[in-house]
Amino acid sequence: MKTVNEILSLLAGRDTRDKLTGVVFFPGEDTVLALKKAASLLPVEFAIYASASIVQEIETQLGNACHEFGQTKDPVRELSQCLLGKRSTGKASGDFGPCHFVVRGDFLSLDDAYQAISLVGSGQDIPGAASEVSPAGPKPERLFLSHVALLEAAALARVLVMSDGFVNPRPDIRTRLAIIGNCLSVCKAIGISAPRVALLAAVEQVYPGMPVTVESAEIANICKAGKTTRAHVDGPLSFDVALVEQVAKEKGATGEVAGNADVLVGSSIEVINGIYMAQTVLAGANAASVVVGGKAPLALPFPSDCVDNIFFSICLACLLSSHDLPSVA
Amino acid sequence: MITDMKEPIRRASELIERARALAKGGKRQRIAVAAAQDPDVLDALSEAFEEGVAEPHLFGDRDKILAICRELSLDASRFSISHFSDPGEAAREAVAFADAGEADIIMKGFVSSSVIMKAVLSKEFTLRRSDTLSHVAVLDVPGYHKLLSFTDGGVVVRPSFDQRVDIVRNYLSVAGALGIQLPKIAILGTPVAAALAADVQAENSRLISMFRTGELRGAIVDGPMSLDCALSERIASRYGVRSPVSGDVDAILVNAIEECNVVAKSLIVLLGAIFAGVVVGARLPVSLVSRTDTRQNKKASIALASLVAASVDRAST
Repeated sequence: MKTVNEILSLLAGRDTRDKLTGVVFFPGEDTVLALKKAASLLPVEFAIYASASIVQEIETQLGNACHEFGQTKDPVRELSQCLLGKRSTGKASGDFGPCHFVVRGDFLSLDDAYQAISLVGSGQDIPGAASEVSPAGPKPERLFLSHVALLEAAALARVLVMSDGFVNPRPDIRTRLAIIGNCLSVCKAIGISAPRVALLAAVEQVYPGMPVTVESAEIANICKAGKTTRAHVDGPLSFDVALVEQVAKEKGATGEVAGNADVLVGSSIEVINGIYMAQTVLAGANAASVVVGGKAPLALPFPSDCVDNIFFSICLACLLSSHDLPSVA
Repeated sequence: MITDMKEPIRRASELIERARALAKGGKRQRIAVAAAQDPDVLDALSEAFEEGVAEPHLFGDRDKILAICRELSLDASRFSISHFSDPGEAAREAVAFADAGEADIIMKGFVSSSVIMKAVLSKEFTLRRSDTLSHVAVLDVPGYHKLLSFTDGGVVVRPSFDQRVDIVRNYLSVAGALGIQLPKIAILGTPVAAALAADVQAENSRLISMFRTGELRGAIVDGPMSLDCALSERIASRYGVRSPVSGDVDAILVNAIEECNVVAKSLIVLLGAIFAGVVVGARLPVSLVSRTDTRQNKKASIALASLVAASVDRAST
C-alpha cells in the first residue's frame, strides 16, 4: 500500500449488499465533515450519540444516513458495550441492526475512550451493566484490544502499520505478541500478504542492560520458532535500520525485515504515538488510527487529527469490520 | 551571513555558521579523536579542518589512518597523529590528552561508545562533572519554527529520578551554547494520563515542581504531554492542556532511550530533519558521528560540539 487513500479502493472492491452501521460518539465539527465524506463515498450509515439538536443538524447534512441515539450520560459504558458487540444500533425498537464499527467523535474524551477500552480488555463487568451481566452467570468475554495506526510515509513511498500508540502502555513480551497478532489482521485487510514486522529499539544489538533489546530478540525467536503465518518478525531494530535499505546494508543488518519493514511495533505508547504525532502535526501526513480486537473496530482519531485523517480512520474501521480480528487473551 | 551571537540559534545552518564565526574569532576547537581509524570520522574532520572549525589530533593506528586518508584523498598532513594500535588504549590516551587541557572536544572513532564513556567518567581523570553523561540530539525539523532537541536517546537506558535531573542539567549546557536563555522543556507522555505508570507520574510531578519552586533553575519544564501537545498550542487546547511550553518547546525530555531514539530518528528519516548530536555531562563535550549520518549531519554535530566546548570555556573563565 503506497497511500492511505487506497483503503477506499479496497472498500469499493468489497461485497456490500448491506450497509455498514457505525455508532458515533459525540461528533464535533471535524467529525461531522468526515462523516459526511464517508456517507457520500461509502455504503455506511451512522447512529449518533449527541444532543437532539446536534443530531438534527447532522441529519440535515448527512441526509438519511443518520439516526439519533440521543445523549448518553455514561459514554464509557456505552462504548464498552459497543466494543463487546452487545449494543445494537437501534433505538428501543431495535430497528437499525448491529453495530459494525464505532467512531470516536471530537467530544468523546480520550480518557473515556481509554477507560472503556481498558474495561473491555480486562474482562471486568462493565459498570452500570449489572442487570445485563448476572453475577452468577458466565464471566464477560476477555478480548485483547490494541491500537493500530496507518501512516503514509511519503519519504519511503509506502504506508507503515504501527502499534501500539494508545492502548497498551508498556507491553511485555506476551502483550507484544498479541499486538503483532492484531497488526497481522490489519495487514491482511489492507492487502499485505507477508508482512515484515520490526520490533523497534534504540539499537540493533542485544545488550543485557537494555531490556527492550533482550525482549525484542526473544519475541523474534518465538515468532521464528512457532511460525504459523507468512509474517517475518525481527528485532531489535532501530528505526532507520528497520526502514531504510541503505542504512540496513551499511550497518550489516540482514534478514527479510531490515530496510523493508511494513509494521513497526514499539516498546511503549510514547514510541508509536510520538512517530504518529511528529508526522501528522509537522508534515500533515495522511494517517488512520483505530483500536482493534473488539467485536467492533473503533475509529480513534486523536484531537490533533485533521478531517482527512478522521475520515481515513473511519474508512479503516469500516474495512476492518468485515475482517475477523483474533481475540488473543 | 554571520548571525548575531546573542540571538538563539534557530536553524542548523546558523549552528554551522556560528561555529565558523567562533573559529574565525580565534576559538578554533581542538578535537582529540579516539581510535581515529574510521573513514567517516576522518572525512568529517577533514572538512571541519578545511572550514576552519576544528583542529583535530588523532589517536589511533597510524598505518590504518594513513591508508584511509589515501583512499579518501584526504590530506593526512593536516592531522597530528599519536600512534596506538589498540582502540581501547587510543581512547584512554585521547581522554588523557583532553584532560590535560590539550583538547576542547573528545570525539569517538572506531571504538565503542561505552569505552569512551568509561574513560571520561574514570576517576583517573578530572573530566567527570556529574555521575551522568547524556546524549542531546538537536534537530532542525522542517515545519517547526526553531531547533528541537531530544534527550536522552543515546546513553542512559531508563533514567532514575536523579539521572533525569542530571539529563535536564546537561541539556541546559547545550541550550546555553545555542543561545537559548530560558529553554522550554516538555516531558514526553501518553495521550491519556491513566496510561502512565504511577511512579513515572510522581517523578514527573516532582521534577516539574522543582523547577516551579526554584529548587532547580534555568528552564521552564512541563508535562507529561503527547508530542502533538508539545508542538502546537492550538492542539494542546483541544486536549484541554494549558501549558507554558506548548507550541514553543525547545526540548523534549523522554523517559526511556528507545522512545527518544526512535522518535528523533523518525524525524530524520521521514522528514529529512538535520541532526546534530553531542554527549554532555563531563567537563568537555564528547562528539559521536555515525557511519549512517549524512555529511551535513556530521558537520552539524562537530559544529554543535564546538559551540558547547566554547560555552564551557566561557563559563570556566
